[in-house]
Amino acid sequence: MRPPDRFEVLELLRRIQASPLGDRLILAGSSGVYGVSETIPALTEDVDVLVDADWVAAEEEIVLEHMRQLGFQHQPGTPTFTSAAGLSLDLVGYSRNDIADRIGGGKALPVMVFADLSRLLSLPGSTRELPGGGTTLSAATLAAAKLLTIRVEKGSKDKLQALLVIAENAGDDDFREHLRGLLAAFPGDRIEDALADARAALLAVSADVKIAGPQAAGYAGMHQRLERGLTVLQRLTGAAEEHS
Amino acid sequence: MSVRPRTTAERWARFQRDQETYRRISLTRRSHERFRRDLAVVPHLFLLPGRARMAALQQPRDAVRAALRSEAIWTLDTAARLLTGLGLVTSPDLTGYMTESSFDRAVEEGLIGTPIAGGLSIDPLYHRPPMLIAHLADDPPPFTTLPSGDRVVTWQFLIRDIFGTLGWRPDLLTRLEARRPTAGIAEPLIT
Repeated sequence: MRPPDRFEVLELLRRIQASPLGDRLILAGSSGVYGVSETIPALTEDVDVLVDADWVAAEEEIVLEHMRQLGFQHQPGTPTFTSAAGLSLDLVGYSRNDIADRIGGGKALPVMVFADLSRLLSLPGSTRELPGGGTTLSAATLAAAKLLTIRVEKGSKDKLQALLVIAENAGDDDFREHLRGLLAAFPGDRIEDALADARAALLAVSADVKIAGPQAAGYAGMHQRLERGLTVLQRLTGAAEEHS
Repeated sequence: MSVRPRTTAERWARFQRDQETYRRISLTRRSHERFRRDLAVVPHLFLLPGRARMAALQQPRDAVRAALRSEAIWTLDTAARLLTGLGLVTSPDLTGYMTESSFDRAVEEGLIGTPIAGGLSIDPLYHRPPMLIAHLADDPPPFTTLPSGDRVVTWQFLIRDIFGTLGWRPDLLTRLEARRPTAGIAEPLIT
């Protein structure tokens, strides 16, 4: 497997859009950066697409067949599909029926279902159509998802990508209001932790890429944009008003 | 990516482990009263790569500080000592902002030695000679002038520099703020 570039990801989304899976899969994860920015590097090794896990549970065989037709082979027991061209695609689940972390999907195609994604996708403006075809998370939703993502190994990368997306859209009133609304849908302590995590990630990657880790090191040198993103995020969350 | 993609069950187990780790981190943060207040701070990177320089002092620290008084704006340990009488770290360095020409002049006048390429740290893990650690800036940070004539960054900027250099250190910040001068400036205890 090899890291996908932006063109490949968008081309894949165009093909998915033209398939029966077209309105079912949403570009997300680090590869979702390709859907919202032409300048921010995604630094990812696979393509993540969101899918309604309850629909997968009901239509498992159809999903597997359509993915086969798109040239992807399923890896048993995983949510991963691989192509002969070397692309790796992961299904990531959300649910319209509940907001809980769990394993969903089917027996042959189990997928992780994330409460945060389920909540975000239940809110208005969570997705947008790509100009070339396909659906992606909107910029604000991707930023919120990245801020709220919980994972130890690649957590810094998630936060840095969120800050860069925020910085890139900082001048867009609609974006800021959208993101403010999304974050307000989550408990305050989650947002506080996300803010603290984002600041720690900024510090690590700006001061010492070895501490930041290999997943985040690619964002070294983007200090000013990251700082801008953090400043905007602090204002949006009201943290900036807590000045001593 | 690993050779074999992780199964969903393996991902679930990892996610649960990560959630538990995050929960502990979150609780630890909240054990400090100042956690929420400090979320407002935007860190400033004093040791920003490409901007920071370091060279060993060639004269006594107070002499170098006096010689650079009108050109440097002290921060971090030096500012903390001047403002509160209490330092942040044990290494007896001078830390401040100045222009590149001021730094070069300090070299030419023998106040400091040849700039050192690596090992930039205000809190080294080993003993080294006292250093001048400078952040070269054409635009000076906000500062106040002390009765001694020394210039130090403002209190808010000092907090930003501490965040950007040492990370979030609630213990240290609380200790420092307890000695924050309310009116005027504390007696400088630079030694």
